[in-house]
Amino acid sequence: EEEIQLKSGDFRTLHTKKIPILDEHGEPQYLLGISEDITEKKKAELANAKLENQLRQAQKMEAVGTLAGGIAHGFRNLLAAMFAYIALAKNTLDPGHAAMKSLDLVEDAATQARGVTNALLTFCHAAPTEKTPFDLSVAVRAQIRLLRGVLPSTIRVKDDLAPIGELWVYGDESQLQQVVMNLAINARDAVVISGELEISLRESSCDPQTQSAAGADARWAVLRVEDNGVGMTPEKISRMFEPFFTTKPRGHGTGLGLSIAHSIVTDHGGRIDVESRLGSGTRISVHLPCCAPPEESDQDPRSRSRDLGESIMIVEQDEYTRSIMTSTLRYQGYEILQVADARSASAALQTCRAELSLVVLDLDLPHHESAQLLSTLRRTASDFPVVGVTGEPHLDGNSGSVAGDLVLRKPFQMSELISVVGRALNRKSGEKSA
Amino acid sequence: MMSSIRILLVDDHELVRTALAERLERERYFTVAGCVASAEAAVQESRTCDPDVILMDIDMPGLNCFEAARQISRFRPDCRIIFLSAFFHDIYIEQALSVKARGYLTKTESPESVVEAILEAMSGGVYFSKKVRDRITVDVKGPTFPTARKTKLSTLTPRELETLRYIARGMSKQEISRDIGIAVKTVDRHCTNLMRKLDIHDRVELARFAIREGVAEP
Repeated sequence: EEEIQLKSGDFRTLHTKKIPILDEHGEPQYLLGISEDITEKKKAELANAKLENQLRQAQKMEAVGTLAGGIAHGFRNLLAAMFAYIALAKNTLDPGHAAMKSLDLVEDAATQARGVTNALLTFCHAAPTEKTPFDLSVAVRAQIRLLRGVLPSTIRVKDDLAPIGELWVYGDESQLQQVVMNLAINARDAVVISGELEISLRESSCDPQTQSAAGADARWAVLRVEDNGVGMTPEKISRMFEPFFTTKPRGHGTGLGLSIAHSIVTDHGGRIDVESRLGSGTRISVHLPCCAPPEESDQDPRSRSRDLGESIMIVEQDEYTRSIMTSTLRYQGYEILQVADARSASAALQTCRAELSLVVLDLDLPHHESAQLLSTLRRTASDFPVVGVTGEPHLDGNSGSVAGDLVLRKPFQMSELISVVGRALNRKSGEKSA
Repeated sequence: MMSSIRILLVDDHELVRTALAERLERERYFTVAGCVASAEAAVQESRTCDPDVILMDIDMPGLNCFEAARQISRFRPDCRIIFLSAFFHDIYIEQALSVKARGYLTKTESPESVVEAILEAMSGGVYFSKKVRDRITVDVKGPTFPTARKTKLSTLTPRELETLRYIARGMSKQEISRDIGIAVKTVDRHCTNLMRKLDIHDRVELARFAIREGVAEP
């Protein structure tokens, strides 16, 4: 194999076979050379090797994640028992008992252990996450303020961030703030004595996976954390996201920070790229898919938490559905009376209608029971608020007995139930005050 | 006078079982009627100890806890089952709802939450954390839990999903058949179907997939 340079300046790789041509005495007379241009083949081989390496790396990370998850699982169980015993011991002792202080210290240590366990669970995607659309620029600004307070004054923190309101990301805000913090701490450690740390946030329309222009609707946020520290060797770069890999002295880091950052970013559908040169510094780019900003809440501003004691009757034939609706509304502060059929509902209305503020009624009760119950109710109290629940897509509010906007059509979420119940009660109180 | 609420505790970690039992026994109206270490034992014990509430760990070796819940509901339809887990996965919530669980608690919640969950279940309600409760969807078949991302996993039937969990634990088809109480041929059919649906034809890869998707614990 040999490399040649063309007149254009490009390099090509040739695979050449050289065959001696002999004369009649067996002595080499000529040399026949056959060259094949294998430049593209070599490029493909290199690309394949890189892919294989990435795959091996990904598999290794997955295996370690599995192991870490197993350890965290076991720890969580042990910690649950420890917390329960601490609570038991505290309940048994007088508040002034000498052992109380020790128990507080044990509880503090157990809380710290839970923090480490949660970090491991985050790494293996098992920690609970709460994803909502949030403004990444706001979140990063908050972290930078925090960083300026904790980094030594010898490290200057520069920022260059997209305006607030432009880059929305669907994710767990606190987890992504943790990513900024972990990357910044790593950068701090790279800047040995004094130096600079720059955090920037920009929009990109380039898909980080393919390095080509993303689709018309696809937008990416690129968060960069750059330092002018010691930089890394290619070997260190290849291992930097492995859990427990650290170049810091013993006791100065768990080696989990960057692996957790990597795990969080991957879980958010993003990607991390690293560029580093020994002696010149490191630039880490986090690419995250953007989402649309959340729509303004359409909740009635008056829909506040209800006063305790407002009573609602739930008439629902399916027992499990009824239980879930009951608890959902109970946790909103309502008193709930639950019944399974129209007969029980009629009996309850006769005895305690004055105490009830609202009825949530299954409009699909068998034998037209819902319509009968509604007509009985309307005869005695024409404006009594009723929220209807139905699986029928075309039911028109039971011939006008239930206002169209107070009919919940299946499938519906519990948050919609809360909203429609609030609307019905607000309307009732609005009518009263008018 | 209110009669006491009989509770059966099911967890393969003795420390958790004992700590929880001691805490619950301190409540005036609670009686810990039994403590067992597996889902199979829970099925047996619930026949004899007459529990009002079963607190059951999600990830235990042997019989799957959701299958155990299904079996118990057949002969004790009024028994309220509350699941306890070290983890919070959409897939678990989905399965808990499919067996009409009365609650789902993670082990990081306080012992007081366990007490609250039992009382809520006994008063005709359910106990799920707020973020779970708000996402529960009622459709014509009853309450369900729409997972945020619909993956290949959502194409599996409950039985296929259960079979996948057992495979991830390294159990043979014979062992799965014995634990669930179905024929080996049926297990074989579930295996074939789930491999086809997931386009994974290797048991090790299936186990890795199950762990990655949160169907089984590592």
